[in-house]
Amino acid sequence: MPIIRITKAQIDKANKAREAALLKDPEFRAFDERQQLRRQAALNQKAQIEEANKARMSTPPNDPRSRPCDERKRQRETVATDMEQDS
Amino acid sequence: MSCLDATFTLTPRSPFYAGVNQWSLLWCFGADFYASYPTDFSSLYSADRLYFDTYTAGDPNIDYAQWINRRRVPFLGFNADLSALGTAKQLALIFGFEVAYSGRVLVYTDAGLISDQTLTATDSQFLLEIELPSQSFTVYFIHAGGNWFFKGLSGYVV
Repeated sequence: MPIIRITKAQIDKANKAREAALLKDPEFRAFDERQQLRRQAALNQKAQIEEANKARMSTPPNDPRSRPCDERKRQRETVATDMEQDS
Repeated sequence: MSCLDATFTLTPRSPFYAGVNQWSLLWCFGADFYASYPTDFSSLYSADRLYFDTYTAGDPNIDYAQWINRRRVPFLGFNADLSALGTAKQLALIFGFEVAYSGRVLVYTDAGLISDQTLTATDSQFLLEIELPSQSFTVYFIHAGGNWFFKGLSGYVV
């Protein structure tokens, strides 16, 4: 398997070149700013998912919110059918 | 024998990794698709890979360290901050691919060309050994020829 090595010195040089390019080119700077926003959005989304999972895990099993989605869906459908029959 | 689990794996359908005070992400400018298997969009999506065609390849004689040149060609970008894992460590980054006929990838940073990599049908990956810096860093993989599929990046911090 081919191996490519990148040293710290090469990364330092690249980051300096990047900083210079960002200062010089407003379009590149705008793209980089959007990338940072996208990254932040991805981090926020991940944190929200983790928070939701944590909340789900800590919900007592007899709480309706802890029932599996399929069960809740089935219940909604049953209610809808009952309402149709009532009308 | 025990195998080392990847610290992260980034693919077209899962291009973001976040751990505690560390992250990495993948992005792409301009992959290709056609109307029939295996290069149609549905097949590519199901297989979680991207296709690069020779007709859209960049010119290997152009300097893609410059944004103005890079933004006009198909490329993959990898950006990461893994400094929380320790700057005395290395990142072994595996670039996974599959070649239809042949392939050529230019590995760049913002400072210049690092490697001109030929992708052959007998290989399915190449390895980048990166000394972890104390800040974020970016590597670009410029599509410079051939017909090939990108499968993903796996990172091992060792």
